Amino acid sequence: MKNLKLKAARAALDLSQQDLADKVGVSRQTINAIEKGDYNPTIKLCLAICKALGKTLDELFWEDE
Amino acid sequence: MKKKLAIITIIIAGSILWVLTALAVCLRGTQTLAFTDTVQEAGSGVTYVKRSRTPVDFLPVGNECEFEITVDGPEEIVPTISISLESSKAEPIFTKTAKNGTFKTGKLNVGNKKIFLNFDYEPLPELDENKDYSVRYTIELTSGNYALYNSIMLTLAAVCILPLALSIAYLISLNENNKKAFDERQMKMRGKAAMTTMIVVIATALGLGWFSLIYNDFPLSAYECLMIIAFIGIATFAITADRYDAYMGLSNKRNVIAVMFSIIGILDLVIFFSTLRLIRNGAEVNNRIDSLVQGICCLSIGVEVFIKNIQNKKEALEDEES
Repeated sequence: MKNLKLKAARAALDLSQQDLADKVGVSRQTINAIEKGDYNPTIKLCLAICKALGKTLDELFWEDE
Repeated sequence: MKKKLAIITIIIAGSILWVLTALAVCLRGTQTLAFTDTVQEAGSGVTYVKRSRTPVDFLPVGNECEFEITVDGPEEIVPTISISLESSKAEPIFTKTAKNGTFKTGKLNVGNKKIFLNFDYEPLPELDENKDYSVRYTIELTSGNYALYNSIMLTLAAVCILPLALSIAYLISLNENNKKAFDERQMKMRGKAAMTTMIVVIATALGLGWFSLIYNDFPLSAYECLMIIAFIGIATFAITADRYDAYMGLSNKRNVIAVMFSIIGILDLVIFFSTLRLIRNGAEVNNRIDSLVQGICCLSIGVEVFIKNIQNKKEALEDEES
């Protein structure tokens, strides 16, 4: 399932996948895979992404019913 | 700048080393040929029932050469072996009637021409009519010309080893200073690629084992089988890991890696097919199927890394535009 919230939060800060990847310390392909829903990140990586984007876990990773 | 120079040195020195060593191995100073002829007394004379090699010839090997011929057959059969140049019907430069055993021709002046060996059998009274007689020949050709090529090529190849080793050592020392950066997904994908590789390697090993059981004349040696399995394993891991975006440590070297593997692959294929042509022309030189597999594997890795590089760039560009 695509993570459109993450993509939207990233776009709101005008960050490219590479910029976010650099901030979090992962590869661009990993951010791309999370956004496309191809990869389920660990809680550690989720927290790092949330901190980089100034969002909470709920806001980025909670799946709406 | 120094890094680029080191990479270019590795590519050039590695390629020269590869080609010269392969050529030196193919054009060895000594060529050996072994085959079996089956003949029969048919009333009007001795005729061939089965010839495993027609004609028995060698490509030009320089001005001088020497043959060591071993004849192994029944006592009733006495072959006459003659050596002629340019055509099997030309006037022989050497003739000998040989019983079982090994003999040397001594130095023959062959004038850098194609050499033909002819085998004739006299109808002897002790031969049984319609009975098959098998004679096995082992022919060893030693020529100074090939030996010279061989030593020159190996010397030149050895000269390339020093710059190659120094450049590799320099690159390794550079990599030690760089902190490797990889993330959890890349490591997970690497595990997935390793699993795929394991399955492919096991399947290849089982497949080769199965073929060796089915075919009596299985053409591959144990070494060739090992090389085939190793290269298929390396190629599978490299390709699947790259497709899964696993950690490969190639981020800034993708184009160099693609070019390097493609060059090695193309060289391997060129060497394999040129040797195949030599064999078709009658030369008895080494041609190993593992060099074909190696060429295909290296070329596949090169092409895949190149395609993936384009895809990555396209993906990054699309992301920045959206």
